[in-house]
Amino acid sequence: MPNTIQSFLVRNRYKIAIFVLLTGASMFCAFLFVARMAYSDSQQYRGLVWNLFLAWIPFGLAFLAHSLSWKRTWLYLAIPFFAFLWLIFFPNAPYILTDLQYLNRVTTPVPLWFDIILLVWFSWTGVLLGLVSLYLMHEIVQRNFGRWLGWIFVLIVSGLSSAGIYVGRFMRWNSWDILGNPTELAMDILGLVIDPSLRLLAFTTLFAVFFLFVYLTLYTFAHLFREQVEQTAPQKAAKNKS
Amino acid sequence: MNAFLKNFAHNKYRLTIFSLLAGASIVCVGLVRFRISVTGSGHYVFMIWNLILAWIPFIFAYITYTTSIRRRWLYLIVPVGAFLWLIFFPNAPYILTDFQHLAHTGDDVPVWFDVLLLIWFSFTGLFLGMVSLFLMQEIVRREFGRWVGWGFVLFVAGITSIGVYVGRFLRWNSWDIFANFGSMAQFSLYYILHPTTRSLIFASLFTSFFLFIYLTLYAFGHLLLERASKQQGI
Repeated sequence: MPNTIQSFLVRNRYKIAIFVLLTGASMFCAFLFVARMAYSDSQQYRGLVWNLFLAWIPFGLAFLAHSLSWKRTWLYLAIPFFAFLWLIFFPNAPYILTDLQYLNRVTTPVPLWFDIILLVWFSWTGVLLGLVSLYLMHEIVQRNFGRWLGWIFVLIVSGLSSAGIYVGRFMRWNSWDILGNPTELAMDILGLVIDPSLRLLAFTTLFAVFFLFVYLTLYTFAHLFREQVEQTAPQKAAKNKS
Repeated sequence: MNAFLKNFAHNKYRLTIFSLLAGASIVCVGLVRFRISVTGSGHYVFMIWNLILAWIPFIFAYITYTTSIRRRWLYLIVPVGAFLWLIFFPNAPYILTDFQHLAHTGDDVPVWFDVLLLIWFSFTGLFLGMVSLFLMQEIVRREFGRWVGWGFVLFVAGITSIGVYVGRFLRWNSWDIFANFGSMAQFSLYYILHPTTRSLIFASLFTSFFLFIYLTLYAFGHLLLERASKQQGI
C-alpha cells in the first residue's frame, strides 16, 4: 500500500507541486490582505479575496475533468458537463488582472508600494490558476481530437474569456447569472453583439492577444526544458562511454 | 544552408521565445504610441526605456548561454557575462513597480486602457527576466550540479529584490556601479548597517513573489514536458 501511494506521488509530482505552490500563494495573498487590514483598519480590497476564490473554481473543475478524462466511459458523460461549467467560470481567473485599476483611487494610509505588491500577488496567482487550468483542458482536447483542434480550442477560449471579462467588468454580470438569470443576460449580450462599442472591441482584442501571448510564452518556455534534456542526454551518454 | 537549418531546428524553442517577447515588446511600444497620439501627452514614454533596460539582461544571458556551450569560452567570457547580467537583471522585474503610476495620471484616458498597457509591459518584462534567469541557471547547473543551480536562483531572487528596492526608492541605476562606484558603495553600506522596515518588508515580499512565479513556471514546464513525452511514447 505505501508503495502505491509513493508511486502515485512520484507519478503526479509536478501536478502536486503546482497545486501546493498555488495554494501557498493564495494563502499568502490572504495573509497580505489581513496584514493590510490590521495595519490600516480598512476593509479595502476585500473583493480581491472573493475574486481569488472564484479563480479557484475553474482550476478545481479542470483538475477534476483532467483526472476523469483518462477513463473512457467518463469521457463522454461527464467531461462535456465539466467543460461547460469550466468555461463559464474561467474568465474569473484572468479577471483579477483588471482589479489593478483600484490603484487609481488609493485613499488609505497604506503606502502605495504595499498595495502594488498586494495586487501583483493576487493578479499573478489568478492568472497562473487560469493558465494551468487552460492547459489541462487543452490537453484533454488535444489527446482526443488532435493538435490543431487543441490550438483552436485555446484561441476560442482566449477570445471568449476576454469577452467574459468585459461583461463582468463593465456590465457587472457574474458567472452564475448564466444559470440564475439567463434571459436578461442573453438580451444584454445580444445588444453587445448587434452594436459593439469601440471600448468592447479594443478591450477584448487587447486582452485576448495578451492572454494568448502569455500562454504561448509559457508553452514555449516549457519546451525549452526539453531542448535542455535532449542536449544533455547525448553528453551523458558520451561521458559514460569514455 | 543545411547547417543553418539544422541550427534553427536545434534552437527552435529559444528562437520562438525570442520572437514572442520581441512581438510583445512591439505591441507595448504600439500601445504607448497610440496613447500619445490620442492624448498628446508623453506620459508613459519612460516605460519604453524601462522595457529596453529589461531586454539588456536577456541579451546578456542569451549570449552567455550560447558561448558557454563551448568549453574554451566558459572560463573567459562567462564570468564577465554573468556579472553584467547580474547588474542589469533587476531592471526586468523592476517594471512591476511601475504600476504605481496608475495612482496619479492626470490624463484623459480611461483607466482600463492604462491598466492593460501596464499589464502588457509588466508581463513582458517579467518574462524576459524569467527566461534569462532560466538560461543562467542552466549554465550553473551544467557546471556545478543541481543544488548549486537552485542556490543560485535563491541568491539571485534575493539580490534582485534589493536591486529593485535600490532602483525604486533610492533611485540608483545599474550603470552607477561603474560610474559612481564610490558613493554607491558608501550608500549601500550605510543601508545594510541601518535597514529600514520598509526595505525589509519590500525585499522579503518581492523575493517570495519572484520565487513563487519562477517555481510555478518551472513545475508547469515539467508537467507539460512529461505529458508531451508520454504522448510520443518516449
